[in-house]
Amino acid sequence: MSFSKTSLILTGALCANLFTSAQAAPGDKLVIEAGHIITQAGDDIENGVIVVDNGRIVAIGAADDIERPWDAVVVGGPDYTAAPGFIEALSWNGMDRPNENLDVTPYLDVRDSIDPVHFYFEDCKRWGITTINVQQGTNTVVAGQGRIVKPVGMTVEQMTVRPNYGHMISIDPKSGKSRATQRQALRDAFRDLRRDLQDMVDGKRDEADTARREALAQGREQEEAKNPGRAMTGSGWKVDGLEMVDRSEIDAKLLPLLDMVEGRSYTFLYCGSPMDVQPAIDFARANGLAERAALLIDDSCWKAADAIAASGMPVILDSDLIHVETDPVTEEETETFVPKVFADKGVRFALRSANSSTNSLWFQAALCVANGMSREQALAAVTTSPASILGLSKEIGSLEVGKAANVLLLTGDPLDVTSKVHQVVIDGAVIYDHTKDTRNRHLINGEAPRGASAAETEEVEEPSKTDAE
Amino acid sequence: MNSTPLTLTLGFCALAAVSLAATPSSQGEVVAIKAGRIHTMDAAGVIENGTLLVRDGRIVAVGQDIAIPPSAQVVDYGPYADLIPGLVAADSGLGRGSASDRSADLGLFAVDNFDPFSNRAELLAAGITSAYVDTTNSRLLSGVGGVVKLAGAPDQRVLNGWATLDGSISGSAYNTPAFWDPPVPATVDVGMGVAEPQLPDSLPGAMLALEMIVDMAAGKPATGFGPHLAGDLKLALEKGATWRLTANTETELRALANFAKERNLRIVVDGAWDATEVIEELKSSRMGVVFEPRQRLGTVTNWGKGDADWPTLNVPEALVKAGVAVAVATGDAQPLSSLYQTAMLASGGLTREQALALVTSSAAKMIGADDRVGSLRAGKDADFVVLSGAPMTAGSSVRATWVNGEVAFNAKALKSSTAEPTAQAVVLEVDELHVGDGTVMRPGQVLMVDGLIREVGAEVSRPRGAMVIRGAAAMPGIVDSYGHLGLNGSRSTPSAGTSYSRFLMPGDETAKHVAEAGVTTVLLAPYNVSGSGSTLMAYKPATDEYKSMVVEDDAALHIVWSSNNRYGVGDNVRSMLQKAVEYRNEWIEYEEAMAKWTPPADEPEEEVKAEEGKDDEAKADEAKGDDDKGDDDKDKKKKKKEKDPDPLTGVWTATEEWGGLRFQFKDQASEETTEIRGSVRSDALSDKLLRFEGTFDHKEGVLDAKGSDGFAGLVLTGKVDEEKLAGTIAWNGAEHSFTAARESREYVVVTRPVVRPEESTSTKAPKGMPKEPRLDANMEPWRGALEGRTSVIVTANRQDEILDAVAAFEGVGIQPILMGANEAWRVRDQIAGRVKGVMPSLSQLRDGDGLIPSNRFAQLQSAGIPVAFYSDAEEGAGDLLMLANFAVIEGMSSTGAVRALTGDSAKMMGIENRVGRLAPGLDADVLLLSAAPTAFGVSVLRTWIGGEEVLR
Repeated sequence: MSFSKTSLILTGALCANLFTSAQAAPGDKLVIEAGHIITQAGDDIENGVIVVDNGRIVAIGAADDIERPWDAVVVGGPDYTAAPGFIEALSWNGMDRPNENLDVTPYLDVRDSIDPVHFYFEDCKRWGITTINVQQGTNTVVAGQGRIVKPVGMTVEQMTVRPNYGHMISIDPKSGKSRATQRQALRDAFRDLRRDLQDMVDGKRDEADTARREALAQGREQEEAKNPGRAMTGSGWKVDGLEMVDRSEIDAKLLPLLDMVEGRSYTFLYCGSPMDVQPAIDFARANGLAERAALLIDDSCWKAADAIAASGMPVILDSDLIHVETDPVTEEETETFVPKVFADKGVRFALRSANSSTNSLWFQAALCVANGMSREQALAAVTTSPASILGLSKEIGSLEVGKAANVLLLTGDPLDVTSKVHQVVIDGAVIYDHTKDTRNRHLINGEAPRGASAAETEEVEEPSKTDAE
Repeated sequence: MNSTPLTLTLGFCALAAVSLAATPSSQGEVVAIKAGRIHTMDAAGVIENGTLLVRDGRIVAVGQDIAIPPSAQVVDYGPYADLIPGLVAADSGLGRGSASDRSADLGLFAVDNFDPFSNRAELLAAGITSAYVDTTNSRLLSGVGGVVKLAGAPDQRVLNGWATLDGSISGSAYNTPAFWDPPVPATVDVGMGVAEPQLPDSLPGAMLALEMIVDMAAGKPATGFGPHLAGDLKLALEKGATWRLTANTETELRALANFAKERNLRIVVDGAWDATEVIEELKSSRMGVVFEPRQRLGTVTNWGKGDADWPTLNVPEALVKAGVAVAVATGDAQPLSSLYQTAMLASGGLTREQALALVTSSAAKMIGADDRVGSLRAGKDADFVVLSGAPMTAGSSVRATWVNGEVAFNAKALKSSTAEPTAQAVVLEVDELHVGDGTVMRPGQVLMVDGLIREVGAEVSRPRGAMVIRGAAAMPGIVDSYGHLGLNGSRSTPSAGTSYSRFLMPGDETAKHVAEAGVTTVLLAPYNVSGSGSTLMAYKPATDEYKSMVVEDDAALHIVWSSNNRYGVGDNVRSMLQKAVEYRNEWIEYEEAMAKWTPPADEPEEEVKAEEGKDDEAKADEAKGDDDKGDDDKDKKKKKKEKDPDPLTGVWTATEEWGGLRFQFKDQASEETTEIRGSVRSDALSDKLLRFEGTFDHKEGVLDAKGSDGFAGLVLTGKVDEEKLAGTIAWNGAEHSFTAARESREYVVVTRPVVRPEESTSTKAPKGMPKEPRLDANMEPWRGALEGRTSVIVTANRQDEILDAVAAFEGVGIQPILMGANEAWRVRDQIAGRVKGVMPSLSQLRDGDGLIPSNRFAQLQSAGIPVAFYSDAEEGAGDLLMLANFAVIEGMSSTGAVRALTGDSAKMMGIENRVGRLAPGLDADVLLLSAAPTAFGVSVLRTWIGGEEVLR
């Protein structure tokens, strides 16, 4: 096998370096003023100030209580509302293509597929999305490693917030499979892992036995056996004696699966139908993934909400929030507003924006409020909930001292249809300004972007054409 | 099960039911289902008038005399319903998906492909409640088969996820592609590998592969079946798994039978087209057979010219008789929903119970689910189907399907844009069907759909979900040709132009009582007849819906010819007829003039508009206020200021957001405070008529009333101002305000109703247009009579009166109906063909003063004159059937008596195209009788009006 542990580690180190260099230079200070701050951590602040130093929030509070550093750049003003940057809990946008055609590919990495200049990331800024969990698509059995990124940076490493972050696992059949064959492939992936690990342990035991017998025969002292690896952990099944195996000897194709079973890796279990939900939960429990797993569910899966609630697992919802169904006997149509079902059952859930016409998470949140959910629940579903589902609660999701300075400055309330994103701050740097958004200005004001001479000449030519006619 | 635990269970259930009575919940609640016959498919056989007790989704008890706990919910499907166990599909495609890459693979589970959340309405509607599922039929060993239920809680739908080792040795399994699993990534060191061919490609190959894998499980190494099969199969065989293999031809079946015998395996074979050829082998190998007919229902196929190619259907019969366990399934050739029909077609030569077993008890045994489903016995799942008739007979269909003690499908709820609306379809099957026109069908059937009679005949079609009711006799609903039901004793004398339809109030209990006695249509006549005639309205008093109550508003006119004063008798009628002719002539002239008149084409439209505009202005001026106006309006003002001496009496209605109100007040003309009483009907407040008493201050117009006896708590206050009553009403804790408008000044419901408002057409007529005659509401029915739209009833008794009257009406082209007509029998030959019919007074049933009385009804009928019975009473109409009985005792023919009750009565009143007969297209007003209509002691068992059964 051409995969080696060393190359993976090297890549990791490289990426960590780039990651640091992409941060704002030490000493860069920023003061964000806002007439209203939605902190998502306690009460909102009227007429407040956020002080940012070195990419982190160092102070937040009412304008009168906060001392502003003299050398800080000041943005915002009393007309703006500040809110935590929205978090896209899961997306397969921004890659050259979302799916691989092999069934079990945990050794692949979305890093190789993310396109930093993809239009999607530009749009994210416009829609106030500051963190994106990029995973492979659902047309898979066990997909490659995902990555959490921010929509800023010229390389994937600059964009990265967390590398090697979780895997998509689909319970719903990928194309060409039925549910039975899909589940068989999934069972077999982990069954084979277990068998291979067991084989390695058995091999080591045989070696040790041979060595002992040899030592005995030669009459020399048997050296103290030193375990080169570590014992298997996790809440699922275990292979006894794995400490005898040096982890670097394990096939790189298997290591990501072992990470999952040992509970070190996040998994996103896709359920395309309510019938997938219970098998997904059972699968996660049997293989020790449940603590770090979230269910990515189709809108019809609200029918299995009780099973989800009982499992305690969080869910990432489909972008269609209203499920429509017609009774074949009475021909009555019923509409179910999916987020409310989960909110009422106390299930942690995050909203997703990804659909063809909009990337607006706030639209999804506003839809929740329109359908009878509280404002707190709706806003949490695009900020704090996805942060906690992704295990990043200490980093992002709310505006608190110590957290990353991912702040949106909006022209009004985030759930108001007339509001728009004025500025976006990520890690203390203003990375988007509505007034400098060339594409928007072209669209809204008809201003031709600089260098777009073709458009200019067209505009000049037009009157003469009409004259001629 | 022995009897002790059963009794214990019953005892416990009764206790539980009592303790839960206060707070009913589905948990622990007992439901008792009753039906005419329960086919248990168990030792208990068929239970007549059986009861099935269900609790927590399981059957608690089934039998004939079962004590129903007092708190139990009882669902009675009636004596004509048959209960059978829910059908069990011994094979289905519900778990089908893509096949494994291996030719034998036990890592696939069919239940993984089964969606427990899906709504299987189309299968439940076909009575199927459980099914065996497999993954595919295109592999030697395609996976693990399971057993599922088609309704119920999703987490309880899988009965058995690990039921059989499913596969096929038939042609369908011979196309397994070669197995190739290229390594990822392929390198110089690790090659791409090659595809390994897999067995089987033929029957010998299939049998060889089977031998190999069974050996493999026993420890003999073999390659080509993947890493997991040996272990999986070993476990399965240790568990004692059953095999389920598809084999169709004689050779396949024989090979499989030998294999089963040699290896001592439990095999159920499905398909089994040629099983009749290998009965001995099947018997000795103790294989079970799931027969799946090759033929497709409703299609024709070229099977091939050879003898062996022709499929047979008699497999179940042959196998049952040979003692081989057999069930029937649909196979791949036809939809699963046709399971019942497939079993019926394949059941030739078997008894009904044996045939039903093919898709219930035997099928359940075959798939190892007989501990839960397939028969109706205490302890098993409460899965059953309610059929409209005996099982495995043509025309009986599914009315409802229950799964786990709950209704999973109900034909009544069915709404479909494509299927026929059969929700309320009812089929009556009787020994004697009286059509109403004198004909009798023995036996006869009626199909009622959507409120109408759809079919009548010796045998009618049976829409799916139709309720089938058998009985002794049926006849059309009785038409009381002259009654007062609904007048409640009001003896006012309305004029001819009076319409009763606006006073109708559906839901009257007395009317339903009368309907239960057989009278479905009443020609409503006032007690007193006005000199200018009174109109009769044909209506159905017991209908629950207002809009379907009226059959015809002006069905008939009634006028009295007879008089005690012999001088000038009939003059008033003659002059009435004269007036009517003149009135009609005015209209004829007008119509003729209109036909001749051509509208002036050159008239400018603007002018008309301008005139209209002026008109509008004038109206606007009027509206500005009375004070500005001169003397012209004095009269109007005077009228307005004149105080109404009795501003309250009558009917007041209000439509508020919270509901509608209809008051009736009884007051008197006064200047002082008076005592009033009245009633109010409002569905929003109560389903009863609320009565109240109180006072009304005529000076101030203030109303203050409280509920009468039995309606304590009702408080009504209000103020009358300019024909509006604004106030509040409190009842049962709710208080509402309303503003009511006066609809009528009359108190009694049907006393002297208000004359229909004359429609005045105020549009300006163009110049030269013929003037429309004045519309006279009182003369309109007469115009209808002259034009043949309205029947005329003439009361005339003595023979001279009768002859004069008939002649007078003949003069204007009317064939009257004679009423009373005490001496009509004397002149029957002279009036035959000149009258529409006779409604003889009831005394003529036994007429004459001699020792031998005569039945004038019979005499008139045999002279070719239709006669009709009438009640001249309110609830007394209920005696009409008995009256007809008496008429038969007195010598009338029984068919004649039925005609006089129904068809002839309707025909005289001109409503024969709606009621009076059992004929396609007519209203489904039908009576089910305990015996022939004129048998002594006959009673009406059930009544349908407009297809709806009358239930009190």
